[in-house]
Amino acid sequence: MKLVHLLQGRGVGHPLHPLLIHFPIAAFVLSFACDLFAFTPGSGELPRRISSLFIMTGVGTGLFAAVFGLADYQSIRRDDESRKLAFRHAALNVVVILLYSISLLIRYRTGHSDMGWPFLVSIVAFATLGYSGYLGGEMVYNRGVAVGRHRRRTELPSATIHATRVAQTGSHFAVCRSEEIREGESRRVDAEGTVFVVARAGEKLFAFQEFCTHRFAPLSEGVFKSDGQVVCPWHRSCFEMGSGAVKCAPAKEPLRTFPMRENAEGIIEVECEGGKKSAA
Amino acid sequence: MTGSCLPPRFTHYCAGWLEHWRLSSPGGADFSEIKPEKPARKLGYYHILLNVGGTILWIISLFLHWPARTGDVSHLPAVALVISLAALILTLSAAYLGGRMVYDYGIGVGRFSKKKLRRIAVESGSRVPPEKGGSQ
Repeated sequence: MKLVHLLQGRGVGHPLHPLLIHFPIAAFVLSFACDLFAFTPGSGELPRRISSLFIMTGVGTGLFAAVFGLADYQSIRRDDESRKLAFRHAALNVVVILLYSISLLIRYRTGHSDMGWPFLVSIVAFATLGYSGYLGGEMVYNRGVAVGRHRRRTELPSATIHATRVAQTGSHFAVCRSEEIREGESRRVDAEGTVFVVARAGEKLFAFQEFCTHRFAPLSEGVFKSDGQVVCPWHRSCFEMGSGAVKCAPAKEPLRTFPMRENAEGIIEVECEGGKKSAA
Repeated sequence: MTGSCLPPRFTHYCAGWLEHWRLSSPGGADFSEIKPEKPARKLGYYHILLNVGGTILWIISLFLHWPARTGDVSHLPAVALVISLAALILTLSAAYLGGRMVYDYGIGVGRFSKKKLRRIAVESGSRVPPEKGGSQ
């Protein structure tokens, strides 16, 4: 197993970054609570010092969690919209760490006597953290980033292949060389707007629609079993890749499959109508 | 009791306990979304049980820590630390199961983005279920 796979938590059943971020979030929330407490009359210097300790903990654990987040970023397809979202999430988190570091610096420079500016900077950092956390949730719960990834033993497709028509009037699209797709691997293909998966399982190649018929998860990121079934990465629906038939719930609707052939040069050609606008 | 006389250790302890509640409260709503026959439901039960067990242990531990709030740790029984450790183990185990529910079983994934993803699937030539079907 590669280091990046270890950082992605493939061995433990779920990604490590979402697990680790609870520590900085908790520390920053508690720092905020201590800051509020510090404004109460007679509270003394202690809550301010405790708040600084929480900020230090938050910055330290936040930087640690970022390493695992970068590993997760690596697994997102280059042309996936989620990648932009992940970049924004990471950039905002850098801002959060910087702002908290500035707040901490002011606190120690003033000997914890001035609470105005550090508190203000902390509030801005805290609000930024909230928005960044929201983006993280959007990635996982609405776009399924890293969901079911640990079950896959092969690399995920790094980008969508934009297939070209074999002949100007024909309905076959050239995808890639057959030997490029190894056992258990897949390619996500966009043929003039029609998006499908080409996968190899049990030494056979299959072409079927990209989106699961349950909640439209990307099947190119699923698991391809040697008995010719694909398992959806999100909710584990199973489909027969040859016929598209549903083999296990929660999906009820079968997949659309595409006829394919291999030409004399070993290039995979998939038959589909294409001609629609490109999907996200 | 004033804020300034609370020793940091006790303050950290209380704050951690409040943080635990902050994280565990919205779970019930998500649990109700899982169909009874799903394997994730069993995982959900264990997740709840571990969280309830952990919370009870934290409460007991807080009760045992109470004499130490003035800074005098001589009254702090060793069992309070043991219970805290047990509570921490239960809470972390519950958190691990929570992660498994989302990242392994997809609980809550695609629930709110279904319409948008459906549109993308249709536009890309995928077969989709009838409008009202396909719920988990």
